Amino acid sequence: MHNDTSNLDALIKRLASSESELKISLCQDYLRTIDDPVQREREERYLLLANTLSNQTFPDHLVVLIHGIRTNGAWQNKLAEKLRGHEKVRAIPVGYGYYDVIRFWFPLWTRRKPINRVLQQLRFLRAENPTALISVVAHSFGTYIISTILNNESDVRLDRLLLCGSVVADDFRWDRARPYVKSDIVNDVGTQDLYPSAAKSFSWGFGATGTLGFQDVAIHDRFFDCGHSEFFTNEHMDKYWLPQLLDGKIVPSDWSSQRPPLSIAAVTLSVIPFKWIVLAIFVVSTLMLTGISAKLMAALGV
Amino acid sequence: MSSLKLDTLISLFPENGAALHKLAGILGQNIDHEDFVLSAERLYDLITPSSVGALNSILSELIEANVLRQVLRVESDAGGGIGDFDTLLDVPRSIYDFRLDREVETKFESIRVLYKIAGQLLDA
Repeated sequence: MHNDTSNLDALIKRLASSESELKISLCQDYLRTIDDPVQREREERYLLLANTLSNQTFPDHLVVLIHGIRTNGAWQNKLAEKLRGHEKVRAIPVGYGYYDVIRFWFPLWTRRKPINRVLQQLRFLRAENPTALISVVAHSFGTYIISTILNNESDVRLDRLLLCGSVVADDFRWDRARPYVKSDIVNDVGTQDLYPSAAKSFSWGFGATGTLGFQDVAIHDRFFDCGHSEFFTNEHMDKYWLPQLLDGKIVPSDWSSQRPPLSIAAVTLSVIPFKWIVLAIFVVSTLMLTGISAKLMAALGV
Repeated sequence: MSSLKLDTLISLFPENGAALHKLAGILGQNIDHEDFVLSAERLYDLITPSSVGALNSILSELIEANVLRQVLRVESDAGGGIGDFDTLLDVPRSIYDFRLDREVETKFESIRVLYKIAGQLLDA
């Protein structure tokens, strides 16, 4: 139903300006072109409901797309293209510039700027569209940004929230943030995705929730046999994302019940905090360099 | 056709959970009333969907699970139904209007979309 509604939408627009006696024939001619009976029934029902409810008002729907690090978010344009043409729906790719791995790794100062940038844009969209639904799709570092905003800013309210490749901390207080999202929050987890576990192991403030899920009653974890950026296929977007974003329908994944035990790499990264080893090496190296330079300066009589 | 659990339906459409509970209650109360129908407008008021597509998606689940059945009722200009059909493809170009006692051309605007109880209950 969501794959291509352009012909159906065109028919609905055509009906509005057609002679009364032609309308049934136009609909019948269109429906006869659809071979799949289930699809035909769904399109017929959509056609009839759109006609019957033409006087009812439906809110505009803004879908904000927040990308991760080391990317210009090509998936945002792909999803935006799929949402384009759906009446009253507008996809809005939101960016914060190219964000490199160093700034991602460093726990102090560097993360505030992209958070503020996304926050400003969400506030602007709300101010410009006071009655619209606002949903968010966030990937990787984008999940950290939106969860931080929901946790800290009580004026940001979302209708639907879809996370994928999440690096949000495992102990994130969703009980505090959850009231600011109207529908269930979905977390798409890639069971081959090691990036969230690595982010947790090598840096501060992140979690392996894109590898392991949140396992939190406030979140709907949905598992897939894929890696960090493998959610952006046509099949995945059509089957899982568009129903949620357009209709509020959460389509379950079979992989959730079939997934194998965690890989050794995922377990290792989730359990061992390599960041402290890295920090220890950094501190020792600094001390050694300081000691060496002090000796060198003493030898030089400086 | 399989029965549909209310919990399953709500897990698919969590933001409409309260409305679906209410709908299940209404359907349960009227399961023995053959003439009971819900109009598309009534379902809109009940479910308050975010879009036409959202309502269609919920109705598709209910119809495919044999909880509801769609009926297209052609109404007379004099008021009242003059023919029920399962699909638009079955609606004839003209129909005998027994209320006006003459053959009339079927108009798209005269088709009312109704939903009847199909037999399966929305199990709690």
